[in-house]
Amino acid sequence: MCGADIVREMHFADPLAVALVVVASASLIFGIISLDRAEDAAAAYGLVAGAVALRAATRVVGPGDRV
Amino acid sequence: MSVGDPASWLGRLRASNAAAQASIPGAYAWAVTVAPGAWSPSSPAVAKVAALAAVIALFGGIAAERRWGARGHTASFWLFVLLCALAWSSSPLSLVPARFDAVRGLLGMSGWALYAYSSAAPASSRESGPEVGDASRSRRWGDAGILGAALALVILLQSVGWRTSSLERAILVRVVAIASCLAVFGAMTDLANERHRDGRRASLRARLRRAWGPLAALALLAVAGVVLHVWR
Repeated sequence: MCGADIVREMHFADPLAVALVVVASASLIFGIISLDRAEDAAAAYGLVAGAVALRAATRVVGPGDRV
Repeated sequence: MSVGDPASWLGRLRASNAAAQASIPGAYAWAVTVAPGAWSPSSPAVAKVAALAAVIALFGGIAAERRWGARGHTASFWLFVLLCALAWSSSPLSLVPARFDAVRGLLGMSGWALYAYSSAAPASSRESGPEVGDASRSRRWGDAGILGAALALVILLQSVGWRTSSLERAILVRVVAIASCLAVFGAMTDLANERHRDGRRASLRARLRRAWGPLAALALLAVAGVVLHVWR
């Protein structure tokens, strides 16, 4: 097992879902930092955006229409 | 199966008993709540002895369950909990309100909740899972990569939000951070499970159609964020 095999196998993960999870994590981190700084509006924005992005990621990979 | 193969230790963990699976959250709860009190400067010897005995009871439960079944697991569970209670209550500073660290208390509560859950849940059998035993080695490495990425994201989420001076806000930030970690880890688990399903993946258009609601909401939020940022 070489590094290239590992990376090739990783590509079987849905890239769109991976991108959405990364966006969600960035949004959540933004929300947590804003909450820490008592910027409640920005915190709410970041947390809601993170939750929506996570929901989108799970909908993209979710069970249903395997063909 | 090589030593470095993640499936080897995953397989051993999956084949373990309930006490083995509960030992990790138990050790975490012990480390967060019992150990700091037992080894504080003014702590008596009985607290230290009880804390050490609790660890032995926790990990001894693995062997006890293999030998005596559920009765061994139950005995280990109660011995661990009672010895932890003895160690914690023997430490004179543990119950002083001024010494109570809210964040550590919250993390400790989470640890004990996880220990309670994993102790009550039945052990997962090797046969009950998806196709871990039959998956190719490269696919297992892919799973390990996704798990590693999930852990990196969780560590990243836990590493922010430690600067607030207000106690109430610190608790709120940690609760939100833990909830975020659970949500991200759940999504990454879905990603990993998806790779083990049979059949060909649906087209990109079909998947986008399925997720159009959250994607549209996300696009609206992004546009609103940009507009608000420019407007300010």
